[in-house]
Amino acid sequence: MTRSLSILALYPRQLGINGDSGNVLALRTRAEARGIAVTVVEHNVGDALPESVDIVHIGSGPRTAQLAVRDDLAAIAPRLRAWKESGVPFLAIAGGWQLLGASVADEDGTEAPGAGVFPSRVALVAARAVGEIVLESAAGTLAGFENHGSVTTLEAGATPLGTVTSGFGNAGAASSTGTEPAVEGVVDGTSVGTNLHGPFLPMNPVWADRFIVAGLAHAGSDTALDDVPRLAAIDETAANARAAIAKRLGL
Amino acid sequence: MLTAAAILLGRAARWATRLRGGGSAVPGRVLLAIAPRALERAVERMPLGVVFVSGSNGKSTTTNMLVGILRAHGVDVFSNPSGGNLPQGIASALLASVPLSGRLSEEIAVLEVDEAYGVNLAKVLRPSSVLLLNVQIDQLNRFFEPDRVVKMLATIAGAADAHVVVNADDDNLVAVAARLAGTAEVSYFGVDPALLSASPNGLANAEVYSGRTDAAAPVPRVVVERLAGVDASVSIAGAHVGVRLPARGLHYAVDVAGAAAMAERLLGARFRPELVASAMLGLDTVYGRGEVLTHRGEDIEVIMMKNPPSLQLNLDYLEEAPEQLFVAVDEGTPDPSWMYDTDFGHIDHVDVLSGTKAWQLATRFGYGDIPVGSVVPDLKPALEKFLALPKPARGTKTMIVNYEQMMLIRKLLGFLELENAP
Repeated sequence: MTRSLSILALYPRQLGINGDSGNVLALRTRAEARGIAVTVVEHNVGDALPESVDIVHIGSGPRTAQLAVRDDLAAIAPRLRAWKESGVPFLAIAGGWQLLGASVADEDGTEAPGAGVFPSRVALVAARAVGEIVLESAAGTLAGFENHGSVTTLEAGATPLGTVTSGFGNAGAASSTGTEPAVEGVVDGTSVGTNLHGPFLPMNPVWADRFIVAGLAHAGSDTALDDVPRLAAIDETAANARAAIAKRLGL
Repeated sequence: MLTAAAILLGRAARWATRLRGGGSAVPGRVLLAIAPRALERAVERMPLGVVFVSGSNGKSTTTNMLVGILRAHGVDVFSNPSGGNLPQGIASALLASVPLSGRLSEEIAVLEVDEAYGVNLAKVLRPSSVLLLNVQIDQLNRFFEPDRVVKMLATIAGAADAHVVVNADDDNLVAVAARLAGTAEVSYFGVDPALLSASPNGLANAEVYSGRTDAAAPVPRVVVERLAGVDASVSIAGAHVGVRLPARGLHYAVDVAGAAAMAERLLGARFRPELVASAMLGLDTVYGRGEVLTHRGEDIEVIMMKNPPSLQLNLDYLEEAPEQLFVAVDEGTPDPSWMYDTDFGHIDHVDVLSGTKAWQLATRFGYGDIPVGSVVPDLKPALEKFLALPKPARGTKTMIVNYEQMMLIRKLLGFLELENAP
């Protein structure tokens, strides 16, 4: 029996100015290379949600684009939360992660509720955190590029994606690193929220395969993933790309 | 007196940096440090005023075209050289032609201005007319989001009191024009709707996320009607003119339309549409835009990967997939993530991939199923490897590179010529 995965891409038109669509491309390519049939459903403002999905992706976008999707997001938030509770993995990048957290405080202090999918809350600030970033995580060294004006706080007990070796991370550009090591992102069950572009999954394929495994588990399918030479070759280039970033950052 | 002294000192700096082969911004900095009002003074009595050309993409090309069209009409024009669009760059250009009186003797100044610096430059130079080209996803590491660019361009356009000329196919700019409160007269240029919808990825202008304008769709005075290779047809206030573009691509035809639209407004009854065609034939290629380099008698076409929209349009208008392709990107493009949104359907392989971002691009091409011959991050060996390929059976060797790699390649080609000389 052919395995299949349904990926929901939230607001690709508004929240997709930074190549985050590469995450969906990586999921599709890597699943199809394993003989898994992939459907990508795009959800834009006003669309009806599909009955079920196995993986949800939301990318980043400018503040104006975030505001343009906020009402629609509020309307679908209960379904998103229910999916997450049922084990659907979510990948949320930067601005998209901000919207899926508990709340977003604007620069003027006005706080608006988020979709409540991730155990994090964010305050937007003027100081931008822009540059390459390297993290140490349970899944090894992760790398990417961050470009955000935000200070993200994780709820008590929430697990960060990794510890920042070089870069800013959740605390943003104004952070004064005290004794606590700076952290980046959040891991909540099989879901990840992060500021990392690169894009995140092509640059860090270990997480791409984790999402596919979690999606297959949600679909009730066999979660074994074969090694495929084409993917091994791509992953070698990604390893070299991460190494190049680490080298530039003097690590 | 102070002005004359400052100009002489600036000229001395210009002479010194030229001897060293150094950067062109230094003399301008010297001038501005000594006479901060030098720019303001230089342009304040120009009969046709000051024109700013700004937008995400096509500033240098369009400025070059507008200058060419005006000169074809016999107008004496002052302009800044391609890319010198920051205050010190403009001041440096000034030093080359301003008399010791400190006032430019030309009739008009046509200046390419950076979107961000343009805001303050507009206060100093008080442009009478502003030509706005587009708002595109560009330099996110610097501008963060397109809306900031929209605000900057709105401020720049707000300074004009004669003409504001705007791209009718850019929703953000149409909204900017609709909100202008000043006395300037607004007019538009654009692309015939059928031609626009035939462009594989449109014009790649940024979407308007909020505040859609209620204004009626603008009626452009200058319209790109047809395009075939480098030949385009443009209607200018009713006249149909055939023009030769500097390189393939609808974006270049749009640049012509913008330049012609501004020239028509500035010159009024003096404007002659046929001079647009002759001006286009006489243009020098703007540095690195649709440029052809020659190495040991072999032509190499260079496509500059300036930003996502220009790369997309350059790819969309390739005649065929290049038989031999070199790609190089370095830290001049801090985050090449956006290349995942680029449609690479017009290339079928890369021979040599170089630059500090080479491995990141290799990953991109891996997911795009575009085979890469070799990845050589160091430019010199990469270039040597590519140049060692035999001449392609069809077409020319092609390079897709960012600006910084382009500069290094030009230098290296010079060195390689010397090294290879008998």
